[in-house]
Amino acid sequence: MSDNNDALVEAAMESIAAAQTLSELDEVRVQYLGKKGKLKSLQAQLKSLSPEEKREFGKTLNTIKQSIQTGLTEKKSQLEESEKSGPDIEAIDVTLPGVRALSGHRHPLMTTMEEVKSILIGLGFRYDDYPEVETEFFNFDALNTPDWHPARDMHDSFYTTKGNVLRTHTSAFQTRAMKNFGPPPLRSMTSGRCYRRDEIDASHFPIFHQLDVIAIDENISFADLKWVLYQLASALFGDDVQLRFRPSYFPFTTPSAEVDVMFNGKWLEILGAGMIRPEVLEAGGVDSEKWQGFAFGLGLDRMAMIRHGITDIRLMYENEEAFLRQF
Amino acid sequence: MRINTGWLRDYLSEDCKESELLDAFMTVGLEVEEEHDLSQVLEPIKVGFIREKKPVGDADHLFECLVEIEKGKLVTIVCATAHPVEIGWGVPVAVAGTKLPSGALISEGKFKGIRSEGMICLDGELGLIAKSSGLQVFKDEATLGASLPAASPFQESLVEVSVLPNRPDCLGMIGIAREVAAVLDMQLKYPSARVIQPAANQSESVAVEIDDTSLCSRYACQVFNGVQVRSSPHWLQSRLQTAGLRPINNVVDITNFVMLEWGQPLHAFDFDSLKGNRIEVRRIRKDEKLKLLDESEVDGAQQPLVIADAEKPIALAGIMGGWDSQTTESSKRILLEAACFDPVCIRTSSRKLRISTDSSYRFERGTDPNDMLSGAFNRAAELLQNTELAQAQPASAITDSYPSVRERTTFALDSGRFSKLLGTEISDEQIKECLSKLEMTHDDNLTISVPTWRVDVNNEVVLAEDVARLLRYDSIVMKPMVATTTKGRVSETDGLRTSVAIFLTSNGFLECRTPPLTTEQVALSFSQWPGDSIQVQNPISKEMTTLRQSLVGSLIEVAERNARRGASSFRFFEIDRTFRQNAELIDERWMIGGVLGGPVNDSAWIAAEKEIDFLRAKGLVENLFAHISVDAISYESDSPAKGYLAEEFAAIKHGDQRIGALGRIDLNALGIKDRARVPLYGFELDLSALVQVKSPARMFSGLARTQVIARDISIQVPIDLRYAEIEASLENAFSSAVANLQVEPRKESDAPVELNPKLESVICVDTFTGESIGADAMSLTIRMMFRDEAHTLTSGEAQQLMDYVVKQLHTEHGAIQR
Repeated sequence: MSDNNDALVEAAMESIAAAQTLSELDEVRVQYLGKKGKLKSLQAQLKSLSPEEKREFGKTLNTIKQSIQTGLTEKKSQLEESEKSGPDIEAIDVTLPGVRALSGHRHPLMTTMEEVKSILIGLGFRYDDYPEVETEFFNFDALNTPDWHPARDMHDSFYTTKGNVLRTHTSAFQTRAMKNFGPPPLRSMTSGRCYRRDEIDASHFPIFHQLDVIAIDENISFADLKWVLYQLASALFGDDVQLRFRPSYFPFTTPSAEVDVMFNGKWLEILGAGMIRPEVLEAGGVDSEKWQGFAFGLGLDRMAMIRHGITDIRLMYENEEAFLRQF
Repeated sequence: MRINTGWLRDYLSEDCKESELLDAFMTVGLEVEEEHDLSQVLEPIKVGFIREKKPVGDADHLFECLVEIEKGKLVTIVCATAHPVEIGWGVPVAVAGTKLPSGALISEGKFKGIRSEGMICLDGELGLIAKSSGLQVFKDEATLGASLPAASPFQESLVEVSVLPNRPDCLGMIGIAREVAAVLDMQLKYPSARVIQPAANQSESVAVEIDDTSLCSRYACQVFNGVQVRSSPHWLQSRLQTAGLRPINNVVDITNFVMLEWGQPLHAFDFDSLKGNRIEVRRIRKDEKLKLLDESEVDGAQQPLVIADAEKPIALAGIMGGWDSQTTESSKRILLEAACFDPVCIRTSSRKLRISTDSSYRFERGTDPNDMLSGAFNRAAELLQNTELAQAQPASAITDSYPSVRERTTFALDSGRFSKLLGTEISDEQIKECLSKLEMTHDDNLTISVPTWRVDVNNEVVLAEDVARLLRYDSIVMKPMVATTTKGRVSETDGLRTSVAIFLTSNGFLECRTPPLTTEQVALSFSQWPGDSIQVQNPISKEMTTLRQSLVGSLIEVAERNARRGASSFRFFEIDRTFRQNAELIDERWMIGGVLGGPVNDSAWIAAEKEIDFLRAKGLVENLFAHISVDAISYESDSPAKGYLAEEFAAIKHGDQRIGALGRIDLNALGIKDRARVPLYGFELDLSALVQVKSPARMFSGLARTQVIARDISIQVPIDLRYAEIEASLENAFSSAVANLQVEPRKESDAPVELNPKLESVICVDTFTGESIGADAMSLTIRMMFRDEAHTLTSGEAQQLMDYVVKQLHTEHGAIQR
């Protein structure tokens, strides 16, 4: 008798465990505890038993009923839980690509230009645009480079038919800025296109980009210049940046320096700098007895190439989508 | 200037490591463009032993040698008798395929039918200075096949130094050695030079007449006789070769050698070809002609300065000698010349005549009239007399015309000013010590006297640089700038450029950089404003002749280029200047240019693709204006710019001011093959003008809490009626409707309310044309949104407004409600 009863509970438990959904589970409930269920048919046997046996069997029936009921309740809450959070055959495949709007990209030259600019703005420099179609005066003469000066050979210039020069360097802005903004203190910069009659190769393009800076005050010194350049370089290349200052020559600065940065184990020339010549200050209407300052200029094409590992300057002017999308 | 460091060491008082020497170049400010350590570069040169030697045919200057270059491996080399070679000698061999430091590539050659598989190399050909005979000879067979640097170690490099234009004194070995010695704490060792006492026999005398002493400040010459003109010894030849000069004969080689040593060009005339024992320095006369050493001819047109004898020009002053007066092997007497010319005069002639030589290069940068005689001239005179060389004898006194002596310039320095400029404490003693290394002298008051070879020292700041260089730039400690604070900021134009670039890249555009200098066709298409084009007078190619007036042409080239690479979607922009000339004024106008075409959304892989059309392009431009706070923009289909299709073109205006254009590109009219295969649209906006018209910071206009009313009206109108007119009428009608509005009673309040509803937006949500409504009609659905800020309108009130508007549209445009 009791063996049979155990078998019944076991079978019920198996059916409960096998139920995959709430409705299957309900079927199991009906099968065992329903009006025509297996427990009811056991109950029918009660009539034929003695009062003592009845009491005994009644207890047994209760135990069976409770066991099955407990099994059903547990399973029910399990199924409810899993139906809330469990896998659904209609769930979305999250690995499918998203539907995106077209993405655009800035040009590496322009982002480089903007980055250098924003660092310098933080150091108190104002940014303005200056002409690209320049006069010889601002491009050369005002920068202590008169017509006969051999330094003009370093710049093979384009001239317009009306006799203007396409600026060969952004340094052309220096005395314009001095004149525009009146007496120092002055910290000013510009950037943009420059033009030289260079043959096109992997590192030369006749139209290229520079950024030029001047700072003038009573005591601005070569030591300050070094400090500002370290600020700029560390913002661009990291705090442990190494710079090297080599004596050089520009007609409009003395002392002049070429500045190299250590990059991937090599010294790379990145900019030219120096203390503004008294002649240039005077050409800009600034009293060179009272004021002094520095100037520096850097090639943005080269800077962009270093920062992004671009090996050929021509790539930056071909504007191929496959190139532009990499930045 | 190419320098062999072995030769440079001739002028240094002490020995040092090669690496220290190379570092010194940079430290002192000599720009090193290339450096080749010859002990590495010459590794491929092997010692080969000559096993057989026989003359080549009847040519008495050629020998066919069989050379063993590795044990048992023999090659044939044809060698010229520039230097004798003997059987059994080990010699440096470059087999075919070897590159020499000069850049020359050794290749197989044929001489009189005999194949030559390499070259036997003289020292000069290898870039080495010869210590003795000019050819390194090895007798020890153990060196067979060894590399030259292993068989005979040496410490020499070839350094390509770019001498900056302010330092012509460094266009000679002595000048460079002076700088290097200063930074390495050595002494400069001058070569011997002594004033030559003319021989008792002064059979000749030469008069010198300088026409204009501002063009030639000094001229010295001397006659030599008994000259033996022949090949120079190898030590001299190889030194010229390391510098890239070709040995010619001993007299010419001496003048070149002294030029390389002192930076002072010299010249030697064949004295017997000159007339009248007289030298004139003057401009060429109109009717005169002069044949130069390179066999070209100069006439009177450009009026360059010349050296002339009593009758005719004999040399182009400072630039090149004359053909007829050159020193040849048959010359017996020569006239040695040294001069100092005005740099601008030589530079002008050199440019006008387009002749640039080692000589003109030095003169146009500036030479020293004092070293000219005491240094260079005397050195050359001594070498000419050298028995190993030309064995010449002076046959006249030196004629020296030097009317106005160039004195050393002096500067009274103040160490305080140097300290202030450099930002580090500089003492009087440091200044004196540094500058005396450069042969500057000083007195107790720090008055510095500068040697005349330093033509660049025209301001005391140059001396500050000299001090800083010799103390080394690295020793100047940087310090945070202590100065008046200044406000760093972008200009308005720059701020707007960034804002526009962010908007366009967020809308799928790729930013381009295209050349502003382009073909006339590309430069002038799409131009929206009048103005002369700006052309360059000296373009480097016909692709870059004109400064552009529009960016769109260049961007179409970009689109076409990418179409060739297989692109099917096009969104490119650039922000740059455009250029026009109006009389003397140059108009540099900043523009925003864009080209777009192809799918609206490139990666909408699950949706049906739509392509960019006019209205989509316009929508983008409208959003751009909203992004940068530019209001009151109108679009008019008038005056299309060249390159746009007239049927799909809008001029964009702000009030009456033209600020841009938008339209479909007409590739046919531009003569461009359509590779993109989708309609391309272009737009171009005047950024300079937008800066002026954009709103300042937007003001908050309040938030209405009442419910907005949205009502659609569907009307049928004549097909040629412009939408902008309907919208304008609708706005007017709405205002009138408000004026006529009958306010309905509100439940919550018995007091009558006042209503002033405002039209918040009008959007066209649908257009329809088709047979069902007839060919000359168009159906529109327009959605109006409006509200009163204080009271929600009743549906009755809303209906009153709508009825009025519909009625008004019917009256004005014959619109029929559908």
